[in-house]
Amino acid sequence: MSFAGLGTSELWTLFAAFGGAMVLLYVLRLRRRRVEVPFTPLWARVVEEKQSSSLFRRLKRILSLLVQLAIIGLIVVALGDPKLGGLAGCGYQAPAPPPERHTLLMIDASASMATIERGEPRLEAARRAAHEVVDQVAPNPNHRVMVVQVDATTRPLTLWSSDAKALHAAIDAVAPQGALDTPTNVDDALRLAASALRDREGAEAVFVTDRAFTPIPEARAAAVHLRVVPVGAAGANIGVAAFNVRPYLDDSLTYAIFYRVRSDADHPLKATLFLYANDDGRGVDDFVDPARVVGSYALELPANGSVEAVIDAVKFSGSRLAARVRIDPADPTRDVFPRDDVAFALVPERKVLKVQLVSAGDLFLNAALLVRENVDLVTKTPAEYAGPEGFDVTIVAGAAVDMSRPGNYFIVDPQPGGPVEITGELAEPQVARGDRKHPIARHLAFVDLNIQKAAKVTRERGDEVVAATAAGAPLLFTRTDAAGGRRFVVLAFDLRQSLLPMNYAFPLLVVNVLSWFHQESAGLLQPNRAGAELSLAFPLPGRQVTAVGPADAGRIDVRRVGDRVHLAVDRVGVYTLTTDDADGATFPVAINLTDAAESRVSPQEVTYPSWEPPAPVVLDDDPWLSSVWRILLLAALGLVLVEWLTWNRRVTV
Amino acid sequence: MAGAGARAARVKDDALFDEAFMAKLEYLDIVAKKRFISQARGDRRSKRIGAGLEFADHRRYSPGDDFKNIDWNVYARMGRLLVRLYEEEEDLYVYLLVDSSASMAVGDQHKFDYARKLAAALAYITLSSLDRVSVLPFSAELGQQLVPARGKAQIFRVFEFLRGVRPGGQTSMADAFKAFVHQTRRRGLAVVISDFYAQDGYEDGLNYLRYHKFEPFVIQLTDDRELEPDLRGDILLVDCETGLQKELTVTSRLLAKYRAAHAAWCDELEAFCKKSQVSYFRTPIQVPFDDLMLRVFRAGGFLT
Repeated sequence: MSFAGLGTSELWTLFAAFGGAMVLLYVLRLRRRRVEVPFTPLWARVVEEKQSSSLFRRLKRILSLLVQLAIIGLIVVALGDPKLGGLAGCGYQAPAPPPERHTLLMIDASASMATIERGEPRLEAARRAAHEVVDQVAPNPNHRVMVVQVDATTRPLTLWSSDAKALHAAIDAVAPQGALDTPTNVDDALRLAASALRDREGAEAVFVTDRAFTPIPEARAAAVHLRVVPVGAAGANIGVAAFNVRPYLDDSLTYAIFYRVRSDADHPLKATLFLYANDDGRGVDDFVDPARVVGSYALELPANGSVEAVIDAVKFSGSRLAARVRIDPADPTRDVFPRDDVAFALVPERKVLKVQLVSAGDLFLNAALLVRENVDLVTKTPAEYAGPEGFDVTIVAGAAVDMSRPGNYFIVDPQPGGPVEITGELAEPQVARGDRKHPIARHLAFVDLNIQKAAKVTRERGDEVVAATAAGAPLLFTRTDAAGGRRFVVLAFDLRQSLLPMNYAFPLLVVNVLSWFHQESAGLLQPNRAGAELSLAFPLPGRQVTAVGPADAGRIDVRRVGDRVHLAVDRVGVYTLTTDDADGATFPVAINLTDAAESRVSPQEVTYPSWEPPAPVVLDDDPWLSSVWRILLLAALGLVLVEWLTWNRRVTV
Repeated sequence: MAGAGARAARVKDDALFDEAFMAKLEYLDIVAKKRFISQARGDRRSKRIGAGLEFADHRRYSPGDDFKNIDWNVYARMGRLLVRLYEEEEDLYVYLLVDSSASMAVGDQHKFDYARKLAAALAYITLSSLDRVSVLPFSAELGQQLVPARGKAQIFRVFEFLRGVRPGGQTSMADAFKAFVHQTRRRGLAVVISDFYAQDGYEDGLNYLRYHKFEPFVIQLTDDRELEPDLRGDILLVDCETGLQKELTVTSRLLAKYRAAHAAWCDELEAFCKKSQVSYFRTPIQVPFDDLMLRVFRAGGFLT
C-alpha cells in the first residue's frame, strides 16, 4: 500500500497529535461532576455490591477510548490517500497513479490582446486556447494548474489546482472587461514562473499570448520550460507612437504639436491625424466628437515605418488634447488594433512672470525680457530696489544690492559683497566646458562669445556649472541655498563686456533661466504609460489623494509619498488627481499606451517551443477501490455513530 | 451575597407560618378535638402514682401510709394489708425533637421546612389541649430549646422559635438525645421529626429515650427526589454533613439498587420502632403536612 496524499511521517505526526489530544480530552472527560447528597452511606451500600463489576466498567471505558482512537486513525490514514498495490484474490490490480505535473498557465491580457480578428478580440481566442489546455490536462487528477493573468503586472488567479471547474472559471475571469491598455511585463511573468515552478514535478509554463513583446532570451525561456500557445495573425495596424504639446518659448497662446505615427502595414497608407481639445475630457469618447476637432492633418504612412512631425502654431482653447489617427476610408486596409490610434496630452499652463530688473540701465537684458510676452517686467535702479518680495525673479545686473532674503536671483556681473564670493578677475575667458544637458543650456551653444573679462568666483558645494573655462572657472552656474530659500543663476561677466547679447542664444538663455526658476519644462513632455508605476510631482496640499479616470478605468492605484504621487492605472485616458484640502483644485495626468511592442500586433518572427498536450493517462475504472480514503472515512463515520449511540445509551459511560 | 441569602431565608421563614397555615391548624384542631382528644383538662393519665381517682395498683402497707387508702376488702379476704394506689392526673409534656442537621436542608423545597411546619402543627394541637409543649432542634447536639409552654397563645412563640432555627451540622441522635434525657426532668411524649440520616445510627438515640421513660414518637421524613435523583454518568458524591466523597458511575441499574437500598433502610427503621413499641410514621415531604397529621390522629398514640 502506498500513500498518494500526505507522507507516512506526516500521518504518524497527525495521529500522534490528534491521538494525544483525544487521550487528554478523555482524561478530562473523566473529571467527575460534583453532586451533594444528604446521606452517602446508602450509596456506599450500593457501590459495595457493585465492586465486582468495576473491572467491566473500566474495560468499557477503555473500549470507548479505543473506538475514538480508531476513528482518528481511520481519518488520518484517509488523509494519506492510500493506494492499494493490489488486491490478491479479488482479481483487482490498481493501475499506476498518473504522473504528477504542474502547469503554470499564463494568459496574456496586455493591450495587443485587444486586436480585433475575425470579429472578436484576441483575448477571446486566448481564453479558448487556455480552456483547451485545461481540458487536455484535466483527465490527470495529479496534473495541477495555476492560472495567471499577465499584463503590466502578473496576477495569479488560482492556487495550484486540478479542479477543472475552478480553472475554467479563473480563465473566464481574466480581464473580464477586455484586454488592458498596458504592455506585457514578461520579466515579471518569468520571475513568477520560476518561483512557482521551483521544485515542482513535471513543471512547465504555458504562455497563451500573441507574442507582442520584446523577445524572451532562449535561456530564460528554457529555465521555466516555457511553452507558448500562440494566438493572433498578421494584420495591418497604425497608431500614434508619440504625441506631445510643446509650448513656445515666447508665445503662450500657440503651441507646437509633436506626433509620431507608425504603420505596420506592408504597403504605404494614407491616413488622417485628428486633434481634439476638451477641457474636462477623460476618455476617448469625451474627445472624439466632430465639434471638438481643432485640426486634421493628412499623413502618408510608409510600409512598416513611421512619420513624425511638429505642427507649428496650433491655436486652440482647452487644457486637454487628444490625437487620433484613422486610415483613409477610401483605403480598404483595416486597422486591426484601434487601441493605439488615440493618444492624450495635457496643455501646460502658463502664467505671467513678475520680473524686476535691478541695474543701472542694462538695455540688453531689458530688450531680451521684453521679447517674452508672459513677463511682467519692472526695472529699478539699485537705489530703488526694496527686496525680492512680490517678484518671481529678481535680475541683478552689475549692482551690489541686498540679496540675503529668500527669492530667485539672476545675477549678471556679480559685484563684491554679494552672495557670490569674487576672488579675482578672468581676462578673456573662453567657454570650454559646460553641461549641455542642463535646462539653462537647452538649445544654446556658447560659441563666439568673446568675453573681455569675467569675475573669478568661488564655487561652492552643490553649484551646477553650466559653462566654465578650460581651467574650470565657472562663467554660468546655478546655486541653491535651501536653508535661506534662495536660488541663484550667476552669469560671471558683464554682458556689455562680451558679444553674448549679439548672439541669437541670448534671449533663449534669459528664457531658460526664467523657466529654470519656475521648474517649467519647456521641452517635450514625457508620456505617462498605462500599467507603469508613475511618480509625479504633486503640487496640491493634503495627504489623501483620489483619482478619477475615464468611464472604463479599471484599477486605479494612487498614493501620496512626500511631495509626489504614485499612480498606476490599466487604461489610457486623462486622470484627475485631487485631495480633500485642495479647495477643488485638480491635477490632471494623461496616460497613453505608446508602446511600440504592443502596437506591433503581427506575430514575431521569433519562435518558442510550442505546447504539446500530455499523453493520455490510464485511470482506475473502479474509483471506490482506488479511493480507499472514502471507505476509511465511511468506516470512521460508522464508528462515530456507534460511539455516539453507546455514549447516549450509557453503555460506554 | 451572604446578606442577600440571609434576607431570602428570612422572607422564606416569614412565609412559613402564614394565614393559610394558620387556617389549616384550626381545621386540624377541630378534627383532633372532635375525634380523638377529650376536652377535660388533665385528662391524660400519667405514669405517676399519686392522688388521682383512677385505681392503678396495690402495694404493701408501710408505716406512715394513710389508713384511708388501705383496701380493707383485700384484708378481709386475704388477711394482708395492702394500700390502694391511684394514677396521678397531671399535664402532659410533649417534646418536639426536630432534626436540624444539614441533610434536612438539601434541595430547594427541603425537609427542614416540612419538619418545622409539622412541629408547629403538633405544637398547636398540643397547646390547644392545654398540654405543655417544648421544641428542641438537634443535630450532633441539642440546640437551643423552647422551654415548655402551655396555653394556645403560646403558639406564636413556637412559630417565632421555629423561624429562628437554622439547619446545619451532622446528625448524632445518640449524643443529642443523651443530652436531652439528662437535662429534662419531666418525662413525656418525645416526638422525633427527622430523616434519620445519621452516620452513627438512630438506635442508640431512640433507646436513650425509651430507657429514660420517655415515649418516643417517630416521624421519618423522606424526599421523593432523593429516591429518584437526576444523576447519570461519572459523578463525585459529596455527603452534605460529613463532606465524605465517593466516586460513582450512575446507571439506571445502580439507581434501582439505590432505591431498593433506601427502602430497605426505611424498613429497618420501621422494624426497629415496631420491635421497640415506638410509634412510627413515614412520609415523603411531597405529601401535605395536614394529610400526615390526619394519618397520625387516625393511627392514635399522639395525645390519646
